[in-house]
Amino acid sequence: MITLDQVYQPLGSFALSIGRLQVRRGLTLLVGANGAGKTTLLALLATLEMPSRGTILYRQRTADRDLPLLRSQIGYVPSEIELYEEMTVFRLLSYLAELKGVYRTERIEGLLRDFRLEEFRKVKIKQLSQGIRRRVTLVQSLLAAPYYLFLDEPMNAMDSSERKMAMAYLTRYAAERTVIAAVHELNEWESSADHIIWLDCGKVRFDGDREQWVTGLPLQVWEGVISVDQFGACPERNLILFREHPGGIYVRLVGKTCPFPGLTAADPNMEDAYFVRRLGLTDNSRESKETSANKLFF
Amino acid sequence: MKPSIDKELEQLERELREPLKQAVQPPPSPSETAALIAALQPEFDALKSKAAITDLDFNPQVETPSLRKLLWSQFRLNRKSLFLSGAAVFLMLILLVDPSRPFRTLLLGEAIPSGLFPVITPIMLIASMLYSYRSWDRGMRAVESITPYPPALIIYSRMLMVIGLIVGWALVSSIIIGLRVEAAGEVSMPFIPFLLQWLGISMITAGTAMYVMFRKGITMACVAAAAIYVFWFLFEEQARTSGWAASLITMMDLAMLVAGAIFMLRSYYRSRSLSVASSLDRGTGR
Repeated sequence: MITLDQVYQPLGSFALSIGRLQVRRGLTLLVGANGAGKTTLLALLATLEMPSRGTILYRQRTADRDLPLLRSQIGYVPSEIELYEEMTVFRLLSYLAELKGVYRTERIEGLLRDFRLEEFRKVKIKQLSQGIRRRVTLVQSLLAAPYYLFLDEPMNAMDSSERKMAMAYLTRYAAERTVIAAVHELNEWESSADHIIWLDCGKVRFDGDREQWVTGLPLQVWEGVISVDQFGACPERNLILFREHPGGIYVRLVGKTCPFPGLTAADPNMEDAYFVRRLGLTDNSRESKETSANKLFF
Repeated sequence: MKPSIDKELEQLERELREPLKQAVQPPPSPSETAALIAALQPEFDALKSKAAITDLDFNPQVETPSLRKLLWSQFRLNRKSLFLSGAAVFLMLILLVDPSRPFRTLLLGEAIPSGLFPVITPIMLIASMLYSYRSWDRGMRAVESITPYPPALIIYSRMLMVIGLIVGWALVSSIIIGLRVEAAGEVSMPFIPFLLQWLGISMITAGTAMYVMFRKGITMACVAAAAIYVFWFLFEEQARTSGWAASLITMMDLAMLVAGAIFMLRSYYRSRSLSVASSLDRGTGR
């Protein structure tokens, strides 16, 4: 278990501010719009940054007292990484394994097998596709079989079969450990998740298990101006209203969480109920129509 | 009705008094309680030890960190560009040194009285340290940071490897120059003073940079290394104009080499104790 207590970290225009949060064993999804603070929270948990205020307890350990011990138990996948391109897959993994204090090659061989990377073991990183590089990045985080695994959009650039394989492995892995994955799309993750944390503008808006997430979080109407590209990515079913605006496109969207940075929750007393009713997404009918939160996007 | 029921109940009570008396157990004596506790003690101990296991321990998959292992790992890190650039620079230096007059360079003549080696080697060293002290990709740097080693120790080992590489190249080049001078046969090469001359300034510059880096960050380390380097030029000029004895200058070079080595050793102990990430961030300028 990880306990965050009064953690505060400035984040440009706003701050990550968490009163008290407990992350339990299992697979925890960290969701929220771009810029909500997911990456910063993962960096804090991975001991890459220290919070300006507050404490993070890993059971009874803290980073300022037990950093080498904690880091022996932490695996981390950053959202973006440029692996050393001149190295072969095996050499890169050997190097990182040695850096983590893992000197037996059996572990690397096993992971190469698990992630179907055996055929690439002698291939240079620069010759690999983005999806395979991402698999290699995921493998490096597992080299020491750490108790804590922090993954920042771990399946970016992976194709559907790669995603399924990675998902199955991580689900098994999380059964006895603590895995936190920051994700954009809940679709494929939700059924495997034990817990979900929703961050919005640096604050925890939701913290609970999957069932609570599906039934407990109210739908809201979000409004504001988004770019044309963002508009193109809006699922039609969530769109209530849109019109041209000098800064892009003014939209109103329905969703459990803020879909894009900059959008704000509309006044719930006035429009929320109206729009949600208009879409037929009342509290009573929501569960039948929205069987899962994975139909709602971020 | 009521009196008969009362009678029946009384009779039932009388009949059951004796059997119930046998069924009711006396309260446990102190010795029985003690025996019970003793019997349960192993179970308590087992529960306690189970609770202790749930505390987070050092990862059993991970071997105890050591500088030797870390150096080997850094050695294996493919630094082809550094290796090749070092080779190119020192090959150029070999070709520039006139075998008949090793302290005179073919292009610059007597412009640099001490020769090119003590001038180029420290610059090469500092430039290489600057280039290599960390990975330049943020994601890779993050991945490399998460190790059970004291964080600064990795930077230390990386810099030590770079120093080893550059000094190694310089040593090989010095030997080749020595052989060329011997082959030319016009002068006798003062090999040890030649070696000490560039090794002294290189070690003191690199040692100072490391020492300052683990205390004040990479920017101050560069400033300190540059200051030492400039000071060395002034010292060389003073020694030349004042006509200091060659043996005295060699002793000074030796002193610089020893001081540089001591700084590096001190940096090692400092890097082991720098365990908090915020200190590391400051220390490396991240």
